[in-house]
Amino acid sequence: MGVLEPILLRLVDRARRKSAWLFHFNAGACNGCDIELVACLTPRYDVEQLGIRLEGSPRHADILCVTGPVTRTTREALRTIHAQLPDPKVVVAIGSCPATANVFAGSPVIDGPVDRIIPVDLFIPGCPPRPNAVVQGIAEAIELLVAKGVAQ
Amino acid sequence: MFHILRRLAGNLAQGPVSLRFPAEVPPPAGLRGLVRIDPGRCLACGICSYVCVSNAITGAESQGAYAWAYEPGRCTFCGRCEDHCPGSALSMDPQAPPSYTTPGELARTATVAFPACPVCGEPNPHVTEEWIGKAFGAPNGETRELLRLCVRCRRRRIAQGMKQPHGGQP
Repeated sequence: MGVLEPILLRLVDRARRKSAWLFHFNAGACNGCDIELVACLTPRYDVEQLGIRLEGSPRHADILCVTGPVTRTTREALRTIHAQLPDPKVVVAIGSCPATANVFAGSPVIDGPVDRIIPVDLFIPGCPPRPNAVVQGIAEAIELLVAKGVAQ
Repeated sequence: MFHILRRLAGNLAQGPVSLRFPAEVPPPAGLRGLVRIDPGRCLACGICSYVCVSNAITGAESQGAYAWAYEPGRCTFCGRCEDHCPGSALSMDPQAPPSYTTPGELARTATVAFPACPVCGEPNPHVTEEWIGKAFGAPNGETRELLRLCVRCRRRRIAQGMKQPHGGQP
């Protein structure tokens, strides 16, 4: 490697910044936050201009977007999916539910909030958050992803 | 047919609808953001923590003051606290809250100090002029004075008045 290494690292860094792929996981959400996340992909907000792509497989994704308080049935799925994402990865909690379980806190069928199951890097508050806030949050998540890649 | 042609011509003339990334979309009028408190207008009644569906607002009396706390991570942004606040102390920010990295980063707290009762000196939740106006209209001096007293002194004062012969002043 030697001479090539810094060039390759810069290339990887640039690729991370310009094409972060996103995996969306619904951990028992009411669908409000999911609709706002889909609104980000519409031509008006157009989150794809940041190089984002909504990816179907967690193995190809860099950012995990979680919506909803974690219900008992989705807990193990969330753990598995988080483990399937390649490093470096960033977990974004969209809405109040993944942050604190919101109105569902204390329910016997809720195992959340998300940070009790997997580490969360960024919280986007709102019930649901506005698409503009989601786009801003994803842009911040990309910065966190690049910082994590450099640290690795 | 003509309708779609008109729409197509309009789209051609309009240019792209996509917002370039760091685009600021102005928040719509009446957007409910984070809850703010004006401690000067708070009556320390605790209605906000009672009506809060997700327990984002908590309040407790301790050592002659009312400690008010708000955790936005739990907030549903429903606006019930603002609606029910009798002293109009609560309001909501007109813009959406920013994202955060550590839980509890946006939390807000306030301490409402209780003024001392003019008779016994016990700390006592204060009564704002605005609330007096809402509840009693324009009360006379005696009612106004009674409202400033603590509960025990107020009871004593009213009981003394009842003991007096009819028409007498306490």
